[in-house]
Amino acid sequence: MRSGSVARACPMPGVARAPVLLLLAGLVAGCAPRAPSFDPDTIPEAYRHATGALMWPGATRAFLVTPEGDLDNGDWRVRFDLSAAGAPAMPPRVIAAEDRWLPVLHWTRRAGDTRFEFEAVAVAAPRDSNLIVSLVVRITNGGSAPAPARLAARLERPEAKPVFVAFDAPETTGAPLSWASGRAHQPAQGWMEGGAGSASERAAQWTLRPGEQREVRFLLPAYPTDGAVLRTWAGPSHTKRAIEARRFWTRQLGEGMWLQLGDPEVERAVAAARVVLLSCCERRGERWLPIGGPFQYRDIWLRDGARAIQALALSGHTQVARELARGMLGFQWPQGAFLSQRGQLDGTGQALWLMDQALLRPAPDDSVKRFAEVALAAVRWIEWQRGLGRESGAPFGAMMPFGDPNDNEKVRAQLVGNDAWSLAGYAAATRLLRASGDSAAASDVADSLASYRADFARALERVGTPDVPPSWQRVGRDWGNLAAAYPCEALPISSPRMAALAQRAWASAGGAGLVWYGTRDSLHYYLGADLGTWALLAGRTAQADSVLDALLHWRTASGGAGELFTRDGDYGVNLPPHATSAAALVTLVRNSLVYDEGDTLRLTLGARSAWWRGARVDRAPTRWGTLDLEFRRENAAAVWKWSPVPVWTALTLPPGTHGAGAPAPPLVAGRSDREVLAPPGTSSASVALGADH
Amino acid sequence: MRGARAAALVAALALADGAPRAAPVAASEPQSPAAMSLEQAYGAAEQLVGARRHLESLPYFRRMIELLPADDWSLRHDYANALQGAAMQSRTLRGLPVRAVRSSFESIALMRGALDELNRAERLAPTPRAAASVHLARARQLAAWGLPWDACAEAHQAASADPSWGLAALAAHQWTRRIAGPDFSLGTDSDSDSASARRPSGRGARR
Repeated sequence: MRSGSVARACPMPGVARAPVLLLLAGLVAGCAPRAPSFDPDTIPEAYRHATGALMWPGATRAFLVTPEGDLDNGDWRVRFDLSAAGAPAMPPRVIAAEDRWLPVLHWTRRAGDTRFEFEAVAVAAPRDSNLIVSLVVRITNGGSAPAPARLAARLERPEAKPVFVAFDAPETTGAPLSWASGRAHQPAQGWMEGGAGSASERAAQWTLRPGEQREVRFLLPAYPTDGAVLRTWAGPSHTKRAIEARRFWTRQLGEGMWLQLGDPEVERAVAAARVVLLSCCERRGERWLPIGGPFQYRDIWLRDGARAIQALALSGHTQVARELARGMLGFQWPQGAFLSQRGQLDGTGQALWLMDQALLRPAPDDSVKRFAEVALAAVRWIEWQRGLGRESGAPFGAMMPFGDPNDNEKVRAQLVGNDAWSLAGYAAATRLLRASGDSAAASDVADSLASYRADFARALERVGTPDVPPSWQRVGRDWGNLAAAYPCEALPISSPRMAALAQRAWASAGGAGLVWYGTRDSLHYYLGADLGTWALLAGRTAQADSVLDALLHWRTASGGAGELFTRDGDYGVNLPPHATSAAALVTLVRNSLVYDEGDTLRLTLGARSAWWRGARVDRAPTRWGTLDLEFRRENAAAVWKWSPVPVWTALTLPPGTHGAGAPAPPLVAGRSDREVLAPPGTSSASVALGADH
Repeated sequence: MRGARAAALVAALALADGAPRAAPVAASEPQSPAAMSLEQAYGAAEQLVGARRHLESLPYFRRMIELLPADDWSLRHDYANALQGAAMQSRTLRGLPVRAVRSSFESIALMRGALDELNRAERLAPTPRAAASVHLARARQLAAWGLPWDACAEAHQAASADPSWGLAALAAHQWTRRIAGPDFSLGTDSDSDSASARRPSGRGARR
């Protein structure tokens, strides 16, 4: 680990840049960095247990704020024992981020009339893989009589089988834990302002008059840190540290796409998801890698990393997405395949797809040639697999071989998702090769893509099911097959098989929204999100909107979303936030506004009625450059303004409306009466509306 | 580190007269690989591989490579297998199953190293049987990672490299049958612990 701050080291371009962006960033989703005053218990929490994540880009540990209101970093726990007038404080009801996105977390514990209000924020630490949490507890006597109050903070090891463990936690738990003491230089797990007690426990107590408030500050590093360093770090107040964090995050988000939809819930949900995605990045030397989550998923999966990288690319975090794509090159095997986990053969297609997503928007990166070469080697490996398969004479020989992912489809079989993703990889390789100037290789891969798609269609005919099964042997759980149309384009959006698949997945879950996984009681946050974009493209706007509704609902008050949970919101030990869940939300919202796959730019595909009161999207990277968009409904017309692009633009009308008569030239009618097409170079349009009956 | 390959390595050890030697130490005494003789490093590596502690065995292999006066195919072969074992090694940390290495990124880096070592071993292989052994090792490694066609192709290359070797011919035959048949199995071909790719399940998250 090198010295220096994470802020300097991280690939996020906003870190070193400045005032103009700050002004802009101040406008993002909640107007940080003001210090908010709000009751965290008023913030919606979808899950049964409240938790929060205190994390930082590049840090190799994070703190979980537990349902009990303690902090746990997978190595040790900071336990707060609070009481007033002899009564213990209750656990927090909610752990909330500011405006439900900005990661300055607030929670309140109550003992009778006494409130213990916590505010905590993670900030980069001097050691670049570390972070330090600055935390204050404000203790207030809300009663009418004096009340004794006590706060004890104890450092302790987690229980025998913890919920998660830090990868670099010592195997033994015998080493003593201690608070920074006096002027000593010993490594410490925390620093507390005032307080008295033993090495691992500090306490403070007061008798508070009615309305009286006291404040205690803590510094909690993710790694043992020299006590003297912590004392120095305590120089700037907590308030200043919180402002520092608010500025950092508003600046980060200000660098990317800016949404102004007149819909704070959606704007903030997207902002929170972007915070999760930016925080779930780790470094290996010069490489950056996307991790699955800050706690139990602190590992790298091609399937999850690909989604995170796409979402970051679509959100305008171009440099971050490209750095992560470079990191993923480490997963290529000498044969050309990409594999991050045993038996997960969809990794090759996903790797190529993520490169395309990261490198070609808003314009091809200078390094595209290197990625194109890598992609070509990967395609050749898949073609070799298919060739061997055909020679074998096996019924589905032209498809990818048996895989045993030990996850997801949960079966050893020839998985349809492996072929769907391989096809996505071929399409991505074609684009990368074209962008690199190798038109001959691009043409070859395009031919292979056409042949593979035809084989895929024939295999589906041979299977004989009306939809798209999880495997060619018709066994397993739905997973990669759900991505067959979007994003893999293995099947056209209009395929009746996709409609049948969506119907099957949604009907058994109770309607369009989240789908279940494993058992009907277990909802999966991101598994069915691709069907949301499929529904947008298929003109099933209400179903797409229902998927978005579900994604918006199943969020924590601290801004994250889980992966798998019961219908009553119990995620067990599968702690939020999950990076792929964050990616699913960002991608669906972005696709609802600006969709740029294919040969047509599609705007307002899923724009909600409320957004039509007047919305703006700024700096959205597309395949035809960076795009600004404004749209609104004015009286009986829908009006758009956007950056002109060299392709046709499809404009979708507001929900519940249709075009009143033929569109005025140069606009022409689209695929339905809710769509009009604008020729290349158009930058504004107005369409007279009629109401649906 | 068994059978023919171990014998080959012992022969190589016997030829390594010029290699530096250190005084033998008690097995329980921790010793830096850098201070070990060739025989000591061999003993330590063999012991650790036998205990499926592949990751810990790697420095001892590197010490052997450093000390052997001439590069040796069987040492490279064994080192490759140890790297592969380390890539898939798991451990229990505070009651939870985790990888022996930090993440899949390090795991795949070890596997790339293993395949590099096998390439080196193939180039050094002095006999058709040695070359076939390297191909079979590669087949096992690729099968363990769930790459059946790659494994099958390597098994066929083993049979081609040494047509007189019944074991290679049998492996090629079995792979061909498995890959196109319903009895396909990855598990029996794995030659080491496998770090699970499965994600943790929640109490409310039955998978």
